[in-house]
Amino acid sequence: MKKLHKLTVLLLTAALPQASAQTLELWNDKAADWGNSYTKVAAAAKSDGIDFKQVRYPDTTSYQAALRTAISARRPPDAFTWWSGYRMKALVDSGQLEDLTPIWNKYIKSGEYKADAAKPFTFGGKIYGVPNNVAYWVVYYNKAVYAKVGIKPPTTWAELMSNNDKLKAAGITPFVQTVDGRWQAFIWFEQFLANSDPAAYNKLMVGQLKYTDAPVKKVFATWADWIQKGYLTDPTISSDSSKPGAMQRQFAQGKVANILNGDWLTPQLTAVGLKANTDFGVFIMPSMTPATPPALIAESSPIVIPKASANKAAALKLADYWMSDKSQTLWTNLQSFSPVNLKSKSDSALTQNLIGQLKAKNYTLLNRIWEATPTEIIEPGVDEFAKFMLNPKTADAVEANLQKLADTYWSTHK
Amino acid sequence: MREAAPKLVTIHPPQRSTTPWSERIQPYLYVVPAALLVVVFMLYPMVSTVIQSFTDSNGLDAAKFVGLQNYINFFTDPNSLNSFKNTLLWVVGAVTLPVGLGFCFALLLERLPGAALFKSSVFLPYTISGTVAAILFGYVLDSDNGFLNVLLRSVGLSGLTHHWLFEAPQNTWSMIAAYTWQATGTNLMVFLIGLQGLPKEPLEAAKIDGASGWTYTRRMLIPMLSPFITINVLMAAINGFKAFDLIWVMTQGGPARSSETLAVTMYRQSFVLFQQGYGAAIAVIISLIALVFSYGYLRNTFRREAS
Repeated sequence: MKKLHKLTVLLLTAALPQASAQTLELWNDKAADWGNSYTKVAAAAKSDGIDFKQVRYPDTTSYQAALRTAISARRPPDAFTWWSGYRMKALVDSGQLEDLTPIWNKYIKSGEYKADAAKPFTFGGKIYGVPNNVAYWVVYYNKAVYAKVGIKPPTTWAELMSNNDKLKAAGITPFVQTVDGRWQAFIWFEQFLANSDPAAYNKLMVGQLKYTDAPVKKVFATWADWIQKGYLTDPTISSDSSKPGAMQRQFAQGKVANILNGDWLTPQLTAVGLKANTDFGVFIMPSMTPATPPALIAESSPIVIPKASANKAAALKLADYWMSDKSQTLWTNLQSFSPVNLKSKSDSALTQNLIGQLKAKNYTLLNRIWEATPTEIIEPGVDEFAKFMLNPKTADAVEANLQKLADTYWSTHK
Repeated sequence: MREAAPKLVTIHPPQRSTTPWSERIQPYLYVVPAALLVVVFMLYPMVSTVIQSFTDSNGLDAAKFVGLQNYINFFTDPNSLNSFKNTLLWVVGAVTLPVGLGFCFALLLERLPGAALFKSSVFLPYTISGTVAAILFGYVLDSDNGFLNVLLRSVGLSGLTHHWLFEAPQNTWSMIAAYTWQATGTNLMVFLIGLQGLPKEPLEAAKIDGASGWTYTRRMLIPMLSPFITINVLMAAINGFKAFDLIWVMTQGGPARSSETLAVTMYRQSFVLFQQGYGAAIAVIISLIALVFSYGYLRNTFRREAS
């Protein structure tokens, strides 16, 4: 039966796109605009002797399934995009990924990268990915709305609350919250915890704190208070910008003043007719108290090289090239991302503004909850957050259910 | 008249065939491609799924045998009960609405002159994919600016507007309504074919005897159409058990797993959480339940063929 299974897997994977000896394949599951940018970087890389093309899967689920099949049949692509943290750990634990520490050491030594940037891709002291992108979770604010209400981006929690009250009094909903698309349900949970107790956030992610402990209870209490005060939209608001009542459109229409999101939202806002840095700006959520260390949620996603890559030497060259100033400048500007390479300069005024804010304070970077805690907890966990958002009275039950998920996982994984 | 004496049959000992081996194997060769397809694409995946359901397979590492653990996990998870309840709602909805409406439309259209246009308009939704229907109804049932809520507001019925896809169990019923829009056509066609094939004599005799309206339908049409009703009901029940594409596109089983069915739970476990052993166990459970319904359907079909 085992032999027959192997034979079937081989037959099935024969149908998968295979890397030729010359052109490397970079598999990804990103949106079409990312695909165009990969193609542009590939065109530029040719003059540096790097020959690769992107293979894009439009659906994340089929992408993961195809990759798992290719990896288990030992015919993986030369390079592929993935998620960091616990989502990456499964691949690392199964011994599938190439150690990219030497490439990182070279760039850290030259001062182009902070050692901290490698953290989300580091397991057991080894670094297994190069940064595809690092998105910072910031607040997008509508400048026209702020001017109309007479408020400025807040620098303290008290200012934030005052802004919320003024916006509410003007008939504008201060912030978006949504359960549409499922995963978005974790956004406010992680943000409130990051702004109230960053140390507790890190402990919770690795099972050293319970979802029934005081710091988490405080988060749910704050969240319920915001919902009760009308600071957050109805959670049924759509996150799909093609829909007429989508959050991006309501933001553009000035019905809602702020969207808390990864800084990859910029193209979605410009697509509904807004001009970056002219019609909207960004600010970092302030800490809840002056004593709370400033923290910022970062979403890091890597490009990884499988150990079984057919063209490993060339794939390692691609990883090295990807981290270079030349590649990072082109890639991050094409995508309006914040550059991770310290030598790279963004051509976007909005991104430059954000980098300026980042440099102004010593922010602790916290890996996004989606990657920072085990998939087995957060995947069903987002459904619990959604339950709370639709009915804040369920807080106690939701906390207990989340802890049950955590107990089940941590009782078998240390 | 004298009965003919039974013929005596002489049994000869088996003789060695003189047909060459190459000719004798010929009939088998004709069926080999079809048999291979069945083995590779149906039997092997079936057996493989059953075996996988007893393992902790994650599609990456070597799978370990875990006995009945996946089945125990399924039957002790409170979310399974919710999935099961929603699946039952789907079965009930898929049977009563598309089949019931299909039957009513068939009775009405059979008597109406120039009903071809109506028949086509009811049948057309069946020709589009479930995914497209789901996207379309996503716009219709959107909370803010969906067609349904806008329509209700414009006719002064704002009190009837809802978050159609966000509140349970009406999110499941909303999706069943979308399914009904799509599936009624095929039921209608089966009933129309049935009605056209009914023998005229007993029906006319019943009319002469004074049967009409509901009595005529209940006493004559329903019993005579029973094979077609059975087929539609059983197929609808099986489709209800399999319901997936509409749900995955419209709600992904949410919010908070409130619209999840067994098929969605299976997909989530297998391809979102990559607990493929657990997913396989749910697939086996769904198959066993569908098998009970299929048995009824197949028995009915074989009986008719035999008669």
